[in-house]
Amino acid sequence: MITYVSRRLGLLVPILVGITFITFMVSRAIPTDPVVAALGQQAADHPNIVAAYRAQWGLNESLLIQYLIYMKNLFHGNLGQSIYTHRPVAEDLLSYMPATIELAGFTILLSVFISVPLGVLAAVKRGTVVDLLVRLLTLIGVAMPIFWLALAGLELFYFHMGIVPGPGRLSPLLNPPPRVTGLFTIDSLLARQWGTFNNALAHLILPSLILATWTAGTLTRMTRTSMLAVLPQGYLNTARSKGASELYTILRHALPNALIPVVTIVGLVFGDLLTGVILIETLFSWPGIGRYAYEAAIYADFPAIIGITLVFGVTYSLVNLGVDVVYARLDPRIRTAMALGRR
Amino acid sequence: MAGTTPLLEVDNLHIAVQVADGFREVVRGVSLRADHGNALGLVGESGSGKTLTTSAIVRILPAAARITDGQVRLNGEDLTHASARRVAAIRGKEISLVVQDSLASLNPIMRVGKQVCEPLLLHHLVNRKRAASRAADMLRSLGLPDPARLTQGYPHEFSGGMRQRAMIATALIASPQLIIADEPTTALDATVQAQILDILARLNRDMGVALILISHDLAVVSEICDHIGVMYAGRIVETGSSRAILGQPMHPYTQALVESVPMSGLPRGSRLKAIPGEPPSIEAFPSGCPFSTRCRHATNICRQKEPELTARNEGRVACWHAEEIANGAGSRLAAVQTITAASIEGADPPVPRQPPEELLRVESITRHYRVPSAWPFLPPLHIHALDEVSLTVRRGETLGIAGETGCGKSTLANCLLRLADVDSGRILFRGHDITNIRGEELRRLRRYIQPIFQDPYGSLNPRQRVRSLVAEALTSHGTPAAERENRVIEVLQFVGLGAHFADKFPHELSGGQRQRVGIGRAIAINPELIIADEPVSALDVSVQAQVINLFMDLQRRFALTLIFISHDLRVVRHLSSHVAIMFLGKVIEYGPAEAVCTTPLHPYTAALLSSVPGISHDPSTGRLILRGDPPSPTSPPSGCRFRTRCPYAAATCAEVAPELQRHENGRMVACHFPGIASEFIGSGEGLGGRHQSVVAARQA
Repeated sequence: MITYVSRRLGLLVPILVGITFITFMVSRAIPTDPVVAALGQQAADHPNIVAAYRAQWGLNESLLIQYLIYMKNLFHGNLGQSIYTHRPVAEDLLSYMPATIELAGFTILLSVFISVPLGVLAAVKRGTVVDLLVRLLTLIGVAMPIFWLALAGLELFYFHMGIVPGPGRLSPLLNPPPRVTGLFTIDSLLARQWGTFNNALAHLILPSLILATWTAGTLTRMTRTSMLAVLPQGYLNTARSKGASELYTILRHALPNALIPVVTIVGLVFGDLLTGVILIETLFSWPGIGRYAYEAAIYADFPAIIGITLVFGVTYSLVNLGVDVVYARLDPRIRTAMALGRR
Repeated sequence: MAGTTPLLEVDNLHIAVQVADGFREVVRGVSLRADHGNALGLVGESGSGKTLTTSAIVRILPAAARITDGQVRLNGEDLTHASARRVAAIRGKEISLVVQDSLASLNPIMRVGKQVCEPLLLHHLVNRKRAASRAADMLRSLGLPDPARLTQGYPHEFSGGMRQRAMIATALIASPQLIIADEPTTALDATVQAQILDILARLNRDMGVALILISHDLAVVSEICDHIGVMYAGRIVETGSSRAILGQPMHPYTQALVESVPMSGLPRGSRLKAIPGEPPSIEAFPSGCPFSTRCRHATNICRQKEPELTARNEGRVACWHAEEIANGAGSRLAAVQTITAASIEGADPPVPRQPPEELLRVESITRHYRVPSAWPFLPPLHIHALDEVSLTVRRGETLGIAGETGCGKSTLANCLLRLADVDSGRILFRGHDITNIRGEELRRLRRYIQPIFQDPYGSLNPRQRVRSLVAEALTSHGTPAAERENRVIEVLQFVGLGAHFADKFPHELSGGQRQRVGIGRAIAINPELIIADEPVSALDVSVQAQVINLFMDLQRRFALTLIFISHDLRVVRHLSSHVAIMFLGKVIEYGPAEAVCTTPLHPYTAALLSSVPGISHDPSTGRLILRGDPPSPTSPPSGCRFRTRCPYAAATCAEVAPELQRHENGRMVACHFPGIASEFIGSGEGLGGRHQSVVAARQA
C-alpha cells in the first residue's frame, strides 16, 4: 500500500509538469503582450520598467528558457503577481481556496448522508412507491438549474422567512477565527469560538443544500444502481442461510460492497464541485476560488490563471489518489491487484 | 425410524414463479424427507426445480418465487408459515446450505475467518474470540493445512477447493442437524471434487448429519447418497434407493440419465444414449407427462395425462409405462449392447497398415507468462504455463488432453491455434514450421485449423445472426456468396439444427444449440484440424451427450483430426484415440486412450481416474484421493512437479525431474516409478469394469 501511494505521488510530478507546460505555452500563444497585461498600458509605455520586467521573467529568452525560469520561480512558491489584485497569486490562492474547500466539503458530507440511505432504501424497495418517490426526487434534484434554486432559496429562506443568514461566509459583525486551516468551521472549533462556529455553519447550510440537490441526486442514483447490482449476489443468500436478519444482511454484507463504486463518484463529484461552484459563489458572495477564477479570466490575468490551473490540477490528482486509496481500503481484491502492480 | 417424526419432511410443496403473464408453477407437489445419518440425492437438469425446492426449505427464495402450497416441517414444526425471525433462528443452526459457486457465495470484502464464524455470532452461541478459534479449528479439521492464513485472507486469494471447504466449514460450525449441498463440486477439478465428496460422506456417516445433495450429475450423487430423487419439470419422477435407481431405473428419464453418462462401460466411440431435445423451459411445460416430448416410450396417454408418483417395487415412479420399462430393461439393454458393438465395427475405417501421416508436431514448446512482482525493482514472477511440451497428432486421430485447472491445457490450445506465441520450441503443421508465421501466411493457416470454444455464450457475437456466424470463415477465405449459403444450410443440418436456425440470433438459442453453432462454424470451411477447448463442460448432462455424439459423427464422416481438451476424463476417454495428461505445464503421460485409462502408469493419472465419480464404485479398489490443491505455477516444486501431492514420492523425486520416457506400445510417462499406483485401478478393466457389474445386475 505504501509502495503504491508513493508510486502514485511520484507520478504526480510529471502530471504537474505537463499541466504547467501546457498552460504556460497556451498563455504565451495568446496574442496579448504579457508586459502590457501584467503592468498595464501606462507602465508599459515606460521603457525602463518594461526592460526590468522582461529581465525578471526572462521574456527576452526563448520560450523554453522562459518556461524554465517560470518553473524555478514556481519551485520557490512564487507564482507571480496577479494583474488584477496586485497581490502574489500564491497568497490569493491561499485565501480563496479554503472557502471553496469548506463549501464543497460540506456539500459532499451532506450529500452522502442524504443519498446513501435513500439509495439503499430505493434499491431494497425496488419497484414500490418508495423507489418511485426517491427516483422522482433525484430526477428533480439533477434537473433543477442551480442558479434558479439559489435565487429561490435566498428569496424564501433568507428574505421572507429569515431562517438562514444571508450571503457571505460570516456575519459582517464577526471576525474570522485565527487562521489554521482557513476553514472557518474548523478554525473556530480549534479556537473554541462557539458563536463563530455556529455562524459559519449557518452560512454554509443554504448554499450547500442547493449544491447538494444536484450532487445528492447523482449519488442517490449511483447508490441505488450499485445496490441493485449487489442485491442478487450469492453471498447475501449465504448470509441469510447463516441466520442473519434482513437488516444485518443489507447493512453488513450488501452495503459495504455497494459503496465501493460510489466512492469513485464521490471523488469525481468533489472534484467537480471544487472547480464548478462559480455560480453559487457569485450568488452567495462566497469568496472562493470559483470567483477568483472568473475574475482572472475576465481580466486576462495570466499569472492567476496559470496558478488556478495548477491548483485545480493538483486538487484533481490528489482527489483521484484519495479515491484510489479508499477504494483499496474497501476492496481487498484491488489491494491484491495493486500488490501485483496491475493497477 | 418408522412412526417417529422425521428430521425434515417436505410435503406436497408447490412453488410458483412470476413470469411475464402471471405466475407459473415450477415446483409441483414435491415431497421428500431427510433423517439423521441419511443422505438424499436430488438429480435433474437445470430448470428441473431442485434448487428452488431446497431453497424453499430454508425460505431463501428468489424475489419472483412464492410457495403456493405444501409444508416443510423440521422436527414436526411447520417452517412454511413460521415467522421470518423463527426461520432465521433455524438457518445456520439447524439447517445449513453449501452452494455451488464458492466465489460468488463468499463476501469478497470480508475476511474468510469472519465469514466462517458468523453463524456462531449471529446465533449468540459463543463470544467473538472463541468463534474465531472455532473457525480455525473447523478449517483445520477439513484438511486445510494453514487455517490461520486462510482466516486472515479474503476469498479471491484462495483456490476453488479451499473456498468450498471454507463454505462447508461455515455450514458445519454451528453443528446443524441437516446440510443441504447444492452442486457443491460442480466447478471444481476432479481430484478436488473427490476430496469434497469424501468430506461430505464422512460428515454424514461419522457425525450423523443428515445430508441433501443436489447435482445434475447422477454419478456424483451416487457416490455418497443412499436415496435418490430424480426431478423433471418441477416434480419428482422417480425415487428410491441408490442401488435401485442405478441398477433398475424405472422412469425413462432416469434410464436416459444413467445411460448418458459417458464411460459407463461402453466402448470408446460408441454413441451415447443422449436424450433428444432440451430440458423444458419454465415458460411452457408440455401437457401430459412433461417428459413425453423427449421420451422414446411415449404413447397417447403420456401426452394427455400426467402420471402420479406411485409405489412400485422398492421405490416410487411417475410413469405410465414403468412396469413394461422395468421388465423390458434387461432385454433392451442387451440389444443396445449389440447395436453399439455392431456400429463400432461398421464405423471404424479399416486400420491401414501404415500409420497415417503426421499432421501436427509440437516440439518442446515452452510458454511462460510474466507477472510483475509485489515489490518494485524485484524481477517479475514467471507463470510456467507450458514447459517443454512435445506431442504429435496423426491425421484422423483424436488426441484428448486432460488435466486440472492451471495445468496449461488452454494455453496449449491457444499456442497451437497461434492465438498465443510460444517462448521457445517449434510447432509443425503438415511439416511446415508455423511457430512464428504472421500476417497473410497465418491467415491462410486458419483455413486448416479451427477452434471450438468452451463458453457457448461468450464466443458467439450477440449481434450476428447464425447465418453470418457460420459463414464468417467462408467469407474471409473467399467462398462465393451462392456457395456460401448452401454450405451454411448444409452445415446447420449436419449439426442437427436445420435451415430455419440461420436467421436466429445467439440469444434465441439454448446452450446446446449455441455449441452446435460453434461446431458448425468450425467445420464450415472443412478444416483439417479442430481444436476444441472444453466444448461440453458448460452443458447439461443430457445435452452434453448429444454434443459428444455430434463430435463422434464428425470424426466418422469427415475423418477429422481433433484435439479435444477437457477436465473430464470420462469425456476425453470416450472420444479420444490418444490422450495426453498434463500437470502444471508438463505432459506427464501420453499414450493410446484405452491403455492409459485402464493401466495408468503415472500416479497422477491414476488419481484422476480414481476421482472420476462412478455410477457404481467398487469399494474393494479403494480410492486414491490426493491431498491439497495443485501447486502454484509461479514456483513449481523442484524435481517432479507432482511430488508434493504424490503419495508415493521418494527422495529422488525432489531432486531429479523425471523425463517423459518411452514405454511399450507407444506409451510415454514422466515418472520415476511408473505403474506404482496400479492398486487403485481394479481388475485391469478400470472404471468400465465397475460398471460392468451394474449391467450384469440389471440383466439378472
